[in-house]
Amino acid sequence: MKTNRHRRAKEVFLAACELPVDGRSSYLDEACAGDDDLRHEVDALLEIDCTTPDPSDGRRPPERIGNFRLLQRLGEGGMGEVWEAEQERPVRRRVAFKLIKWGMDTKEVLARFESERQALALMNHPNIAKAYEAGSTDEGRPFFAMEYVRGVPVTEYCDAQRLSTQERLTLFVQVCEGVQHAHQKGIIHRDIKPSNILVTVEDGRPVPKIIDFGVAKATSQRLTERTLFTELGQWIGTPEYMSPEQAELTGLDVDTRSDVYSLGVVLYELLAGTQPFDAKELRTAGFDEMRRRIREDEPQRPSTRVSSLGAASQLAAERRRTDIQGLARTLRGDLDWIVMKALEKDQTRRYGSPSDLAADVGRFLCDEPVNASPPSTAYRIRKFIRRHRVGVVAGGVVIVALVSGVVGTAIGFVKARHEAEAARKVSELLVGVFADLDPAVQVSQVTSTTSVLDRGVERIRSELSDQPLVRARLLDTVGTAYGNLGQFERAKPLLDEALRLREEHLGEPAAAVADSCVSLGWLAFRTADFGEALVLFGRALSIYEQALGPDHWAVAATLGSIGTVIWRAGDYDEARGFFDRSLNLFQAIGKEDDPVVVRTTLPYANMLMDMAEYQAALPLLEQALSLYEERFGPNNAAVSGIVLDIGRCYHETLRYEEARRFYERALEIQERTLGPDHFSLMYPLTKLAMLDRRDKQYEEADARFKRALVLGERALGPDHPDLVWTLGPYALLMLNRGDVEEAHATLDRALRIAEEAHGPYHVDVARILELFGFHYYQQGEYDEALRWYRRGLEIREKIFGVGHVATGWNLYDQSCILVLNGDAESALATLHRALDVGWANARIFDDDDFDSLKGDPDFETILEEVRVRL
Amino acid sequence: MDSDPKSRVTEIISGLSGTGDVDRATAEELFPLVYDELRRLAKSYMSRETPGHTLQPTALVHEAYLKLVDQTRADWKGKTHFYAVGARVMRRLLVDHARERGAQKRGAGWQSVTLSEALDPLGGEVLDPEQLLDLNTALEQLAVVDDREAKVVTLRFFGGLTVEQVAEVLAVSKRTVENDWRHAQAWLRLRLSEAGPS
Repeated sequence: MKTNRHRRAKEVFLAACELPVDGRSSYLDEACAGDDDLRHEVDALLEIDCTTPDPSDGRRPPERIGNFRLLQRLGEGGMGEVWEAEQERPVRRRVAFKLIKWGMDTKEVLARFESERQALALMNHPNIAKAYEAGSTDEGRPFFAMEYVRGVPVTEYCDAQRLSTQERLTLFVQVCEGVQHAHQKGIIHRDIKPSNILVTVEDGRPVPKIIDFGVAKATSQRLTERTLFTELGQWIGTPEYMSPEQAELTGLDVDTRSDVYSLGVVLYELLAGTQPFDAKELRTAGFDEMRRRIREDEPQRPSTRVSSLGAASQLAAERRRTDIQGLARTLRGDLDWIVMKALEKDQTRRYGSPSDLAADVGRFLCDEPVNASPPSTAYRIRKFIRRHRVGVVAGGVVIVALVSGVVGTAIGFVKARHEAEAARKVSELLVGVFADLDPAVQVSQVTSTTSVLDRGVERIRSELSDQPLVRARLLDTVGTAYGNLGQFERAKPLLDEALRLREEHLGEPAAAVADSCVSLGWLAFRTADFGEALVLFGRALSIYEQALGPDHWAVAATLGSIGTVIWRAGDYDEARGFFDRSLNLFQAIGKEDDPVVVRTTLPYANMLMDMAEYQAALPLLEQALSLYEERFGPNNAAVSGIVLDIGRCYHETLRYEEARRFYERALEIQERTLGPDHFSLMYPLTKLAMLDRRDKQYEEADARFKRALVLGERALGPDHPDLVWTLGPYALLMLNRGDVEEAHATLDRALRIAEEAHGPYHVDVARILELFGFHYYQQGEYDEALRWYRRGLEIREKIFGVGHVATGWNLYDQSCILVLNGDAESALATLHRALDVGWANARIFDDDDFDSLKGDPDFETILEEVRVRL
Repeated sequence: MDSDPKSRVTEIISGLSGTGDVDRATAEELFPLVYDELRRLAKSYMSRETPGHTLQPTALVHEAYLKLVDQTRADWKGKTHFYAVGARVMRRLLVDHARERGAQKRGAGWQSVTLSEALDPLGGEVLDPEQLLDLNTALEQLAVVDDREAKVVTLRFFGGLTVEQVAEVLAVSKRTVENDWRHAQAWLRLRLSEAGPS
């Protein structure tokens, strides 16, 4: 009973609220006819409703404020609400009427408002919604009356009209001009985002109009802690569009360039179809994490983003009347750089004003050269080091070999050979000593060579004290030779000395100094000291450019070296950039068929294999092999590394027979040329052991794994990241043999090493997690297995991007597990995902995990698709 | 499997998806977990602050959220529902505490509280414990005739939820929330002014 009365009173009350005050009593007479209690109640409610000053956002504002009659509410934002209103005097027109929420510091707000009001009244630009009047209500609540723009957000408009990239850019230029006008009047917008840029059509042409000017600055200036908490349900500003300095929240440093940043984000979205920082990711992170990301994380270039999003980009491309490749191609290069320049974290590196940004866009549209350019290598290296926080490895030298191990040795040998020849030419005094080191005569025993080298060093020091440069060259040679033999503690002081001598006697811009930097750089790399390696290579690069000119093979080779370090550190995007630059330069100077190009193509191929792009990798490898075989003969240690990598390519595309042939050849060459105790052997041994395991030759596999580990640990120490490549597969063997505990312990160790060396987002970490998953899969613990695989997938998606083919196998394995777990639906969905990213392999035909799916039409479709692709 | 409150809460929160309503069982499960944390926070807050300082319930709920939920796994929906539970907990805590103080007439604890949105049905910016109890009683009366309205008020006053969030939690439209809110305020003010100064 009481409930009904309550409800009735509420109904009447609310209805009465909607009516103008003078119309209420007649309505109430009717509605409450005969029920005095009801009338009494509603009257009392209405009285309280009107008399209480209510700053809340649920409160309806008065009918008429000044010359404006409020019609209907259009929306509610963080700062207040927007109404459609009719202005009556001095001119009759429709306006957008914005009522500001009661701020925390009302007096301050009003004061600031007054100064803004003058400037706003002065703004007169076709791309800015004109502000008509500003003031405050009787209650002291500030308001704005603005031009009523009937339009849609710029991003929506462009998508709905399927505007091409060019057309979008033209619209964007207009937006910049509007913002520029405001800046000239002293107003910073601070909240530029698509919903504040509405496109309306005037005279048949689309005109973007910026709304909400000045409002943001006037009211959100001071963000006290209290404000943050109470507003936390509604985020202040819009994080996706917020500039790094705005994310600081101190309010300092926010100037016109903050608007440039936000414009950059809008441009990014117009071009690529997504925001630079994924909106969902940003918002689900904690408050502090969100701010950190905006301030520190580097967004992907638009073209890269488009390429890596796969299917999601398809829609974006369609909305720009093109396809994914076409879109990426249009964006790559100048447009990328324009956007990234607008998005620089460092304000001083951004465009100084919206008109600068508009001007560059204009140049792009006219096919003129733009000002924005890829940042210098030195800058990028510094940024890379900062971003990945690669530090200097403390303490001792951990001995490492590059990539699959022998490549570095091979390169070293090439260099040593050239250097040795030069050395011999230079100094005949020491011919006797160095003859034994000539790689044309195969080095067969580490120990004897070392002692020979030791003697050589003594003689170098004593007999060449008056010829510093010759000494330097020989020290460099010997140091590198030590390195090739794995004697890194001995190598470093020699290489350091060589560098010092050269610096002293040649001055900085001398190629020889750069040579020393390169040698030291490789040494640092081998000890997994990526930061140091990059610094050294960076220095070498600038010296080579100065001393030899920018079109020299040494420059190209160093670019390749930098790419190698960055790749191993895990940044595939950056690395590819360097590799491409290197190869382009080699081609430009006509050296693309010189063996020196292998220094770039070999790590590049390895990186491509990491990314599961085997078809791209194989030609690079085959070219490298033929170049090296031609130069060094087919049985040279230098060749063995390439052979090993080709084996890897076959191995990972499941052609086991061919893989084995290559691995065996590599092992054979190395045993013969480097001796049975050289650490490089750990790589072919590991690979062969993996194949043995697959063939169920567990005894052989075990022996090989053990030997590989012994060699590796002895030379590289117990915590080197390359060991992970052996430990992982070894654990798998242990599983096969039923040594579950040991397998688990080995995987733990591998994971620890990988995470410590590379951080959590690295492909090696993902691989281990997937091995864990595989382990559980074999045990039949499918839920657990999926959990591990999903973690691995997360990492892969983060590194390679969602929709990248490198996530394919993970997805395939997951679907196997899902089937066995009884979830056929998810299994099929996951298989589709795998197909979507470009995965296809014949394994699916004989995989008996899918037996229960045979005959299912969806599964048959999938099989057919795979057949078509192969 | 694990009994760590943070994991459990995060699990519950991140499991929420689809339609708006949190079922009773889930809310009941969350309540004690959140209660513990909020009580701890309130206590430490009060021992830190000088006497006479104003307590802000919504700030505490926010802190509890940060402590109990793994940010990377919660989304807007999960967060909103957490805040909803937090609002209820906060109300219970404040009321319990006010009653205790009432019984003792003095002693440690909060002196005054600022409810969200600087909204105040009693005409001042802050409420003392007695006023809070009056409010609570009025809310209970409201709940008898209009349960949903009482919920709206609880969520907004004690949790600081926006109209949008309330709509999500109660699975109604924003318009409904606005209407409820407007009416509830008038109703509460009316009742509390009738009750006379306390």
